[in-house]
Amino acid sequence: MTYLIWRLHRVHAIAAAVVIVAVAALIVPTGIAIANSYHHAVMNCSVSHVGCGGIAFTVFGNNSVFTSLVQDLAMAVPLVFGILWGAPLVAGEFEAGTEDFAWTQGVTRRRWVLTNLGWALLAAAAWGGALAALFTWWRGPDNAVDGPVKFIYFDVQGVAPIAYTVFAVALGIAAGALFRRVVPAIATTLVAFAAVRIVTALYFRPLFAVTKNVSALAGPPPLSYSLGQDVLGGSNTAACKTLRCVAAHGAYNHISYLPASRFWPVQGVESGIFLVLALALAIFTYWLITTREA
Amino acid sequence: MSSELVKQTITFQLNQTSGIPAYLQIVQQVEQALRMGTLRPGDQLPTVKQVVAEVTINPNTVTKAYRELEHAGLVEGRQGVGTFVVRRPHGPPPEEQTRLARGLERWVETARVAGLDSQAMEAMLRSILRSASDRGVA
Amino acid sequence: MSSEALAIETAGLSKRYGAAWGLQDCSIDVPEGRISALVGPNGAGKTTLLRLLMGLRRPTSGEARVLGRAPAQDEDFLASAGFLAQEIPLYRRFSAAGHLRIGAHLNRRWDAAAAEQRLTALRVPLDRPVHSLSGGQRAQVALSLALAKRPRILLLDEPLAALDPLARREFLTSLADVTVEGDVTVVLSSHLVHDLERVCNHLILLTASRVRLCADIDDVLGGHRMLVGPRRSTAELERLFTVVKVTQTERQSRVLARLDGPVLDPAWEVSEVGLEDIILAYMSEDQAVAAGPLSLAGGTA
Repeated sequence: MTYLIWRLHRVHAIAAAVVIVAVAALIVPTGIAIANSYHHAVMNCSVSHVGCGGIAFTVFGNNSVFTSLVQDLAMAVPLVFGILWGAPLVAGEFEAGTEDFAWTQGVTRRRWVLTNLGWALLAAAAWGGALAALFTWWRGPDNAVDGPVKFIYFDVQGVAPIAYTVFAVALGIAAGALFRRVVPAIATTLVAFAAVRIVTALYFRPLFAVTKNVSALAGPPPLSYSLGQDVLGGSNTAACKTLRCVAAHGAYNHISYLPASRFWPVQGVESGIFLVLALALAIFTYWLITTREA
Repeated sequence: MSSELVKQTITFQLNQTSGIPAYLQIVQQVEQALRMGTLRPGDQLPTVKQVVAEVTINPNTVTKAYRELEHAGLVEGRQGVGTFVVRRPHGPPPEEQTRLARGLERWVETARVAGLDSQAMEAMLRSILRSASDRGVA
Repeated sequence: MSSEALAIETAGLSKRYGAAWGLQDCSIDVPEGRISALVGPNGAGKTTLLRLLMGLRRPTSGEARVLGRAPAQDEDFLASAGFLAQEIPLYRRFSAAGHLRIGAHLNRRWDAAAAEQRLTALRVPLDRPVHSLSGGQRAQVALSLALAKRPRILLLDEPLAALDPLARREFLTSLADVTVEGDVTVVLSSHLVHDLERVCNHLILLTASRVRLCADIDDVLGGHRMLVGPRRSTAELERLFTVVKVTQTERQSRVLARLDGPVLDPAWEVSEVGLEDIILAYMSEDQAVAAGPLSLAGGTA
């Protein structure tokens, strides 16, 4: 059965490998350049105390369009895997009627679905992991300057992308098993994946936020992800035109932020959630294939 | 025109619309070949596989036909080798057959002149054969 | 016949899809070694029956025994039963040789050499992608794949449907050839009868999801007769025999009946009937019943 999966999908696997190599070829040179530039700037700053304030601009300013583009593409990777690998895996066979081939050639449904799921999710984890490692390395300097927890920064590095990719592929496969047609499977994967990602980013991550009141002149600590700031309180602040004035009148800044130190805990829990969802989808797929009938 | 040289002693033809069961057609064709001398004692009948390949017929039908012939004492099956002709069927020798055939030809001519067509002649012959067999004659 | 081992035995086998019955109360016997024709109009339940026998579907009620056991999706059963679905499920971009390699990995027992020999003898190219082969060649590839695991039973769903006459003849010859050697039981479905008669020696007739006939073809032919006579009531006949179809004109009555004894009334002229006519009579009887109260069993003198 593994041999069949290899024969059916080796083109996909090789294409994905080529894509990873291409991505690496694209970002490794710039990554190295950025890292060098960053180390230079840090050296200058610590040795000759020059340009310490403008490191971020010096290093990243010229590349900002490029880096944003790369990171936006990186965000899309899990969904792309889900749509190109997950959705057609099972649905494609049902559409072509070829599941009958395996099922009458000595492969039980159980073995068929488990082998398909196993290899697909393993490949998703491997490919997602390779890309995540690549982007985590690439983001090194920017993490030092801007922190890893901001939206998008968080989503493309660490272990979360692995969990997103595994989830997306599991979602694609489940949708494919449910609808038995590739197009509805793709559509469902797209919508459901986006929905779950948005909900977790909007409602789950803030659960780990730190909320406190600080001086009206202060803001969230460096390298953190600001989730909201509100200057409140104080008396007779209407006439004030500067923050200093408002602060003098007793106002404070009510801030909510995700500290850089919580990067790994949040990554861990969010990844756990996505992996649990992926497992649930895999179980659902198994049940669909072995119990529901043609 | 296409022509085939087949490595068999005789070939068979199946007429699906004749109403005669397939195995009986094979029996009759073997018997006819024996009468006409096309098949001689010692000759091997085509194997089941050969007949199936040629006529697209159920192998059991061939087996059944050959068994009938064996019962009638015309052929014998040798395990692992094939089915071989043992003797000619009882009945008139070819010359006698030819004489009878000529007589039949003359009757057909007479009947045609009288106004019967082939189908009417066939029907008449069939009905006479039937009543003759009922009477135990044919 | 009851002393023969049965390749297929079903009792009250039924399958419902939602509100509609695909197969109702099907009880059939197929002795080993037969080449059985599963015949019936489209939608009669042939595919449903074949898929139930292969274990690709589970029955709503009743049971089936194939090669002495209930069909199931387990490796033992799959190793002994071959199936050819109507759509000929092959991977379009793989060649016949590619499929054989895959099959070797999927099956316990696999005779690729014989399959290759077969296909080569039929002049089917082994190394071209399957989508570039003709319908007849694809059917032969699929048959070879089903045979390569040396199954003891072969279930084929409308294998002749998309084939031209020559390809049909070659396919049937192949099937007959397969049964020469081994102890294989074959069931193939078709909504056309004519070709099957040469090669099949057993018949299962389905109409409207029910079994109407299940017997050796010789017995079917021996057991049905056409009765023709001057127009009269068929009530007496119906009392004695199973009447399948009655056609009445002003002057004449024509009755197709299943006879299990002699017809003593001399006014009836009794003659044999061809298989196709018998089957059509059963199929049209069904339609007449469906059409309403003016059924054929009511003749008036």
